[in-house]
Amino acid sequence: MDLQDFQKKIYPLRNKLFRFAKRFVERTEEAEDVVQEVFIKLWNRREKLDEYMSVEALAMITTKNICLDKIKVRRFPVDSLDDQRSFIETIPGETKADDSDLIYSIRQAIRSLPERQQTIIHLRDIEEYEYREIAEMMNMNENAIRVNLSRARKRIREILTNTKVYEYQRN
Amino acid sequence: MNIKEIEKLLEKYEEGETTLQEEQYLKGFFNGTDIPENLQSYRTIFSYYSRTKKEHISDPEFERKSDRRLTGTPVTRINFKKQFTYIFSFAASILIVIGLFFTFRQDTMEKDLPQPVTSDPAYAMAEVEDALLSVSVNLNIGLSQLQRFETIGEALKSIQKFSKFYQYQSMIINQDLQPITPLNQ
Repeated sequence: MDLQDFQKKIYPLRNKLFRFAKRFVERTEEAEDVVQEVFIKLWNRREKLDEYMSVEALAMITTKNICLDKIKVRRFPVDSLDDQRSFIETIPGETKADDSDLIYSIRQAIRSLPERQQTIIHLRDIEEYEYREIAEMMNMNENAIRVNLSRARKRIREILTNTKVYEYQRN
Repeated sequence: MNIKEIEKLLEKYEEGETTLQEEQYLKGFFNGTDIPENLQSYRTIFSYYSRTKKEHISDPEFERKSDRRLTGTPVTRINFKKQFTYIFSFAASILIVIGLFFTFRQDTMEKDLPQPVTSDPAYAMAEVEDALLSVSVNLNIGLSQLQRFETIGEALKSIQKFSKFYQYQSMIINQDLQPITPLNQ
């Protein structure tokens, strides 16, 4: 695989990898750095890339591993308020003021899930991968993916409904 | 599709049984208007997912950076000012090294001591004797020059005789000069 092939096959994945990385590292700049690192790792294995079933799955797995390594050596947690602001700024299109509260609460709801469920929700509901592909990335069987996904989806709705009820009672 | 069907689909969705097409449909539905109050939380959820999917790398240089990294060319270039300081510090350090070299070389020259030529004591003794002998011979040559002083000394002795004569003479003159001398009387 030469540079042109690589640019054609791997570069288009960059935004997917970026969003996936951002789910873990949270900061935009750091997520971009992670994607660069993923590219370098894949480039160093360019001779063997054709042997993999799915290069995209490999790229996603590599992203996740690099992110987890980065989080492990972190000394301080990311300031979530700062992160919320930067998140809203990077979302294209219109962002209404009352929406940003809801976006924040749904983000918090997803974050309260176990890490595995967060990842599966991201891969399915945001990136829209097939169960088969998610199973490959997570190294789990399809049925386990469905079970985890179901739990996560129910939990998110529950949390959102509860915050709304709470807000209603308070008003 | 009516609300009943949407609710059925949502149930399937929460069980993890929907296909990607069905989920696409739900996203489309909740992106629209006229959503019943009891389904509002789904609207929030699906719109969050749709929006998050639009998030992308904002760095316009991203691809170029990747190209440079992958092909191994350095990403950052040293600017001219920095290069200047690098050259100067390099030159300065060379000067320091040269300076240190000469100072230490001089030191070692001053400290330079004769190295032993032999480990054989008999040979060393012979050499020392030889050296002392040559010193003594040369000293004798020098001393022979001093014999001239002996002749001067002899000459001085005859002068001394003369001075004795002068002594007597002056004694006599002195006696003459005395106004009253018992001899003259």
